[in-house]
Amino acid sequence: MTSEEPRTARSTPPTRNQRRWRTILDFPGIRHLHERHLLLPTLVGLLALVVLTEGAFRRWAADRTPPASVPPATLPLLRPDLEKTPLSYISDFWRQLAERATPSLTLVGSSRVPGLVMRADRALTSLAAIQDDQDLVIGLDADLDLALVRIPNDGGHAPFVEVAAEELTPGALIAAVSLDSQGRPRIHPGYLLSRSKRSLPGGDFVMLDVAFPSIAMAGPAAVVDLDRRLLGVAVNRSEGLQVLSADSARRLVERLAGGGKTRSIEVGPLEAAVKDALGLRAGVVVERVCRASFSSAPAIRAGDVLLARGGITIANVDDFLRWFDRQSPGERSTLLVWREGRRARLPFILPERHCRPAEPPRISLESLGCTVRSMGAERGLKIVEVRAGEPACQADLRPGDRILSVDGRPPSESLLRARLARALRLKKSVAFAVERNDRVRFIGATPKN
Amino acid sequence: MSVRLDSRIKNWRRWAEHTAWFRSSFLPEQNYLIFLSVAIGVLTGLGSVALIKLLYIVSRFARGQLTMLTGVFGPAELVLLPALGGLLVGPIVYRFAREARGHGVPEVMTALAAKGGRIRPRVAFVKVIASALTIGFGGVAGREGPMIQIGAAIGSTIGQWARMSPAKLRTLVACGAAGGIAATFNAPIAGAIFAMEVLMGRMAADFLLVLLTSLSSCFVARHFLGDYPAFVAPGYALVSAVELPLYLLLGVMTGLAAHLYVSLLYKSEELFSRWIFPEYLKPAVGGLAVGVLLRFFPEIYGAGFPAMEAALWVRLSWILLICLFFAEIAGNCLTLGSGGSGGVFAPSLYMGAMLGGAFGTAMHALLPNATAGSGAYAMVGMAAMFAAAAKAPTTSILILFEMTNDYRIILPLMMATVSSAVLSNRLSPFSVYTLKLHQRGVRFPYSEKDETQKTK
Repeated sequence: MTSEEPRTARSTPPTRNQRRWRTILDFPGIRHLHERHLLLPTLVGLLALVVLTEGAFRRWAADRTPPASVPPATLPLLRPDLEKTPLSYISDFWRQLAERATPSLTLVGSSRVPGLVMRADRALTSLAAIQDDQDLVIGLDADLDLALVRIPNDGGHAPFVEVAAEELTPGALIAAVSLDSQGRPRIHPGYLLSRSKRSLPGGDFVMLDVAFPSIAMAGPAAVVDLDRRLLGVAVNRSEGLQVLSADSARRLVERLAGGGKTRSIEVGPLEAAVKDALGLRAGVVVERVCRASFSSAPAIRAGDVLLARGGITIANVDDFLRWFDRQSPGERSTLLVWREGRRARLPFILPERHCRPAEPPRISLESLGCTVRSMGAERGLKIVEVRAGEPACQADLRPGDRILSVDGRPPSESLLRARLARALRLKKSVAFAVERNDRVRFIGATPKN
Repeated sequence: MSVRLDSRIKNWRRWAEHTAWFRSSFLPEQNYLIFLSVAIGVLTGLGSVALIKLLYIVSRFARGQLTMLTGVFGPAELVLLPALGGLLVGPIVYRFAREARGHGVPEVMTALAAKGGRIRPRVAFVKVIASALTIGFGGVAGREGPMIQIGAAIGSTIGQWARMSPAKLRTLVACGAAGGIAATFNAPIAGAIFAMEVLMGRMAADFLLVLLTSLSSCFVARHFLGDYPAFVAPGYALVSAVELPLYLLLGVMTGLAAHLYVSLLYKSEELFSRWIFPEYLKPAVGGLAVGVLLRFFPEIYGAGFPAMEAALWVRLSWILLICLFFAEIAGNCLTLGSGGSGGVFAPSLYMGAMLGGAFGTAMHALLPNATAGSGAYAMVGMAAMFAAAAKAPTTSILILFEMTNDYRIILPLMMATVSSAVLSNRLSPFSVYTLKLHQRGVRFPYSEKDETQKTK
């Protein structure tokens, strides 16, 4: 092959590229490197040397310039092409949005349920948040499962700016923002579908239909638009997600803050013309019944006319309310009710005065000498009363203790009664795991006849 | 070390002869093959875990301790790493097993077609170390090619030890290769299909055995590494019917790009092999050139999975996508051409993702309401590029499912993959794997007739 090369080179004139190559080789040293097959490593090495020197110089220059002491300005909220990105993907945009909404969210009470800051010192939260912190409550509405609570006005909170749902077109991107129990923001992107009016015992509310790919949260969440303005308040309830529009939420806040607590039964006067038409002499009309305040289905409903209570005629609204506010919850009474042209005498268990969920009944345990109250399947039983000198008192069970287990099993009324009866029969103790001041201790108590 | 290992294998063979009566009296051959294929699967799975762990250790050392030393070069801190990797890999490959250079699959195919499936056992060990060093130090290559060769070497070693006939030995080699793919990509079906579509060519092998190895190897890898898809990608679907022609166009583009890539890869291999220079130093020179590229495009470091994922999530600008496409071609050609050890599988996916992402960005800017985001095009581009480069459309479609766990993109995917594969078949009859066999004069797909004629 080597013997052929010169011949071909002689016979055909060199091409333009070959001529250029020869010119390059004529430079001093290049031919030397080429003949020793070192041209490529030399070139690559030189290139690398240049790059390394440049890099080292930049590093040196960066080390010499003092670090900027100016705090970084808040980044503009860049909206990428969200429409084309699946909502299950939390991009930087959504993360920034969640962080920006955080000052308008707070954790309420010892149960650390998230609340939405509606005013500087007022937050809207769910009823679960206030179970252990009744003193924070300003007002509550059991039907909407929302309570207005007091929060420390430390200047760290920024109340939400509201936006009317009409400003957004159906299909607009929105997000539900909430906090987890550690105070970290959680965001669920979704779409606004439509608005609807819903009549609830508390009045007419504008509700929003929204779609979220997934939503799991404790307590209410703020539904915000992409500029973090409040569009609505989302509450996860057993019947599904319920989103109250922002202006309805504001009206609710005003009502709860201004008018105090909402009564569980609200009545209004009957006009004289109506009385004449119906053939009634006195009475008040039931305008609203807060169903959640009753432990069983209430005997009266909105639209009934209350004529008498326990044989005494109800003359007017004030008369009824004076009587109603004097009664204690759980008391039995009989009401004479006019309903759809008929009169009926209905036995009636009085609810809590104010609109709040009905308290579970107390369970009196005679063999231990204490009274407990069920806090729900997961929260166990709470001791509300301990009688002095009785076995519970001797075993150092105290009011406020939460019973986490009975003989190692999850507590329930039936189990508690069964274990107590067994212990009484065998003359043994029952072991309670109780939580007191965030500490769990085991206590054994021997029941007595 | 390897000499001692080879002699130890000879001892095992002697032991196997003693136990031959056991096999012939108790185990019918098919059952024995099932047993062997599961054993190959387990060993390949362990090999894959070893490669991935070693790769992780090497790359952590390179990006951690070493980068602290090279940190004086500021933005150029990565420049020296691939050269260092090449400096280490060159002598190892040159001294112990020269077939461990490059991407490995042609060597496996050569063994299948011309050597009756025989591969030296030491190849598996040398390949693990060489690939971990090449890729861990930033060489632009994938870890799948090596894993195919490692699996094939394990399969061949076990087959040779069990004194299998050439036809059975080939099946076991294919089993090992399938196990390698299955374990690295967490993709058991695609692994098996790859072995049948790419390695065995037209020849029918016992698919059940290949599946069994794929399954057991993937199981072992999942046990050690966890069951994660190779990519976490957003769920993309077809937005409108207008998109299908666009995907066809993407298929044509990737077909052309794959042709360009394959010819450049072989050109660079040819140039480096013609260059008279100590063989064991060539990877270092190639590595230094890759290092210069890394100064400007650090996204191509190693197998490049983070950048691919960023393209799927629409996080890269179109100009960067195009630059990365060319940088990846150059980096991969330099790494593999100079004799580094690594695969072409991940790089071709990378190029496809970048090209598809750039194409998708342009289309989305033109028809914003009728097209999905550019991530969808990046995802389809990945599969289309590999389909065209390896001429393996079935494997590409399956592997994309198994890597992303998403079925909704099937139509665009098939459209682009089939069109790119058809175009690539028209442009050249050889794939990135078979071109080397053609250059060596080995016929592939081989037939049983050739084999019997040769033995006669």
